[in-house]
Order: sequence, then C-alpha cells, then structure tokens
Amino acid sequence: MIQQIVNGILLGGVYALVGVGMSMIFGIVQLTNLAHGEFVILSAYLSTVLCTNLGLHPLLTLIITVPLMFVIGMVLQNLLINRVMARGSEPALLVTFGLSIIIQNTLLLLFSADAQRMVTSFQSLSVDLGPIKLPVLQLLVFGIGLVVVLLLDLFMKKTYLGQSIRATSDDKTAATLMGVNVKHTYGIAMGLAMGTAALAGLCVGMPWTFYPTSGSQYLIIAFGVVVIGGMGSIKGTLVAGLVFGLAQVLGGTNYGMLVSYAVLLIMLIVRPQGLFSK
Amino acid sequence: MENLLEFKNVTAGYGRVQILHDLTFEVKKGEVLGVIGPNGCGKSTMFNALIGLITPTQGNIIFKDHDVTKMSANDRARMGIGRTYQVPRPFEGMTVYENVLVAAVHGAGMSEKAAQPKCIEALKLTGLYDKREVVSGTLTLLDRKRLEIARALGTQPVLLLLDEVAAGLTEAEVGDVMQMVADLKAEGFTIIWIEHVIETMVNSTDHLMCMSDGTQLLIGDPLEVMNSKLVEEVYLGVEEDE
Repeated sequence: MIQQIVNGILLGGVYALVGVGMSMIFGIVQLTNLAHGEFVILSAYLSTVLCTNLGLHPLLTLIITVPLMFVIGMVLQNLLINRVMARGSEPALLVTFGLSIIIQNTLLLLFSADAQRMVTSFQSLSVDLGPIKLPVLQLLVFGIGLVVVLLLDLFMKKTYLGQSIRATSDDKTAATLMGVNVKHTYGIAMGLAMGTAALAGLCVGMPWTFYPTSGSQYLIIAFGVVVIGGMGSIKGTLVAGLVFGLAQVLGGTNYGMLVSYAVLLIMLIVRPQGLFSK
Repeated sequence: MENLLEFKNVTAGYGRVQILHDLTFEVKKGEVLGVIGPNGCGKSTMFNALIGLITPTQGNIIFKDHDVTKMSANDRARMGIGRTYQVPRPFEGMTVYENVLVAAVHGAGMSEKAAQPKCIEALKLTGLYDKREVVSGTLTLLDRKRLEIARALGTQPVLLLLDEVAAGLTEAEVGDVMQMVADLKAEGFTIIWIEHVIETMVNSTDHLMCMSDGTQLLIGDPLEVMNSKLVEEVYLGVEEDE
C-alpha cells in the first residue's frame, strides 16, 4: 500500500507538469488549448530525434527543446492565436484544435504509428528504502515536475514579468491601462506553457511509450489536473497532479483511469471552481 | 496656458451604436475639468475613447500635441494618460504595492528599482502606504478607490482621469476623496473628473463640462454651469417654464 502511494505521488509530479502549461493558458490567455497534448508529444519526438541523431542524453535535449518550444509558442501566439482571439474565444479554440490535427498527422507522416520511447542508462535502476522501492527514472521525472512547478510559481510572484502576467490574468483591460502590452504578455505566457510542454514531453517519453496519437491522452489528463486544481492556479496544478496520480495508482491497473475520472467528476460536483481557484 | 488635450469633433461608440457625437473640448495643463451629465450621456465612453479602448469613427484626439486617435491603449498609458474606474478593478490576487509596481514598471517604463520610490510616493499620496503588503482583494471600497488612484499615479501620468471616485462612499469617505483630489491638484496633475456627487465639483474643479446625448452641452465656470437653466433642464430634468 505504501509503495502504491509513493508510486501515485511520483506519477502525480509528472501529471502536474503535463497540466501546468494548460492551466497557465486557461488562466492567463483565457484559452482552452486543445493542442497542449500534441505539444507534449511533439516535444517527446523532438527529444527522441535529438537523442538518436546527435547522440545526446535525453536530459541534455532539454537545452534545445525548451527554448525551441518557447519560441514556437511565442510565434504561434503572436502570429496566429492573438489575431483570431480578436474575433472571440471560439475561433481561437478551433485554431488550437486544427493545430492538434496538423501536429498529429505530421508526426504520423514522419514517424509512422510505431511506438517510441527514449532509452536512458538509469531505466532499470531503483533506490531501495526497506519496503519501499523508488525507481530512479520516476524519481527524476517527479523531481523535474516538482521543481518546474515551484519555479514557475516563484517566477510569477517574484519577477516583474510574472507580475505583469498575473495582472493580465486578473483583468486584461486594467492591465492594458497600466501600460502592459497584453498581446506580448500572452505570447510570453504561451512560450512558457510550451516550455513546460517540452519538459513534460521528456518526462512522459522516458518512462512510457508514446505514439503520434498519444497527445489526446495527455490532453485529458491535463484537463483533469486543471479542473481539480483550479484554472490558472500553479500550486493547484501541483496538488491536483498528485490527487490525479494517486487516484490512478490506487485504482489499480484495471480501474486506475476510471477512479481518476470519478475523482474529477466528484470535484466538478462538490467544488467546480477547483481546489485553488482565484 | 498650453492645451494638454483636445477632443476635435469626436464621434465614437460600440459597434454600430454611436454614443459620442461630434464631441469637442480642450483641457489645459494643470487644469481640473469636471464632467457631469445624466446617465447614458457618454461620459464614460468619452474616457474609453480617450484611453484607447474604443476608436473614434470620426474626429481626432490630440494629447501632448500628438494625434493619439489610433494609438493603442497601453501606448497611451505610457504617454501619460492614467485612468481610474467607477467600480475599482484591482489585481485582486496581488498586494497593494504589487498593483502599483505593475503600473510603474509598465506604464512609466521604469526599472523595478527606479519604480520603488515612485510607488511609495503614490501610496503615501493616497494614504495606502501602511497597507502596501495587504492583498488588494481584501480592501474596503474606500481603499480600493484609493488604490485605483495610486495605480493610475504609478504610471506617472500627466493626465489623470477620475471616474466617479466618490460613488458608493459615505459622506465622511467622500470628504477623504475630495481632500485627495485637492492634494493631486496641488501636485500639479491635470485631471478630468466624472462625478455624480455634483456639489463636490463646484469647489474642486477649474471648469465644468455638462454632456448630453454624447456631446458637449456647456463648458465653463463651475458655478455658472451649475446654475445654467440649460443644464438644469437637461441634467436635472427641470423644464425652463417651471
């Protein structure tokens, strides 16, 4: 039982990382990014390609994938999403849906439907703590998830750029009147969200197999985490990731996802605004 | 005295509905212009056009000798136009200080270090210095109104737009707000001030403009405007022959 709880917590760290980017975009840009799962999987493919072609260690691929995804996010937001958002939120939603289809099919074309997985030297290593066994790889991805979410929270609170993002999230009109360039802020927020997607891509690509169509699976997990945690709350995302991960592991192999979604449904009934809503 | 702002035949509205019709007026540097008029006459729309939330379909807005008619709202804030809202809109999850800091860094284009003394100055001027670490979502209405002004001051404005700062306050609180506006005037700010508590405007403004149906009905000495039959008729609903 203790081992299962530990496994659930470790899984929760990854889920928090998968959900945090989507939560940010929900909270700041007020956009449901239906392509978030595909961006996670696209990043996993990018890391795999860099590992295979340049012989890089999976962790080192982050040096390239995080800035690259950040730039892609900024460009997409500034050149595409900001333009359609002027016509309301629905066109932007459809654009992200379109992006998800384009990414999925491009990955299918380039890599086929075969399963992929990044191989690491510490794949089978584990730390034994008496009755508890901590797989090094799971521990690592949990650590990455935890650190990224906490750093992001700190960035939002302690830097003036983070403060402007929070101000825009609170009231974009008032932020505009304070001189904040809201469109530029949206671009940075999307860049940051994509940066977290790059990290999430690595964290799901190392321990588990993935396919071009795996994005939808992670989109649903991200949705669950965002709803449980409260839209736009970074700390909430972390707690929700842990709740979601624990529920899945404690539900067992057959009913894991069912239990997770049951928790999600209960949350929607009891506290629809999420645990840490604004 | 030199003109700071000129509205030249401005027509503006929302979608196909035009609220402002051929509105013309000017504001000189250091002047306090009071704006009165019945509900729906276009006072707040005039502010929205001035700060860039809506773009006029006709006419021009000249600020500091620049035509800002098509300029974005955040660029106008950086040029020195600061606005408060009738219903305060603080960044609720942030502290009072952080609210003003965002305004100073983005609106005035200062570094965080350079912004610090300016933020403290704005907080002292509005009486919020002791509450600088309080999360703004927990403030009382009066303090929220103070924060609206402090935040507008954070952008280092040349022109300050006050939208019904006295609305919803008790008599004693209105007195506090009046004093604050008097202090701002003494500091040399140019102010355009929309208010429904009209009595407060007579002694606190240099000129008074009465708006009706989206245009200027009368502008001039506050007392003369207040006593004008035309204003009484339109604003207070008093017929001339009564």
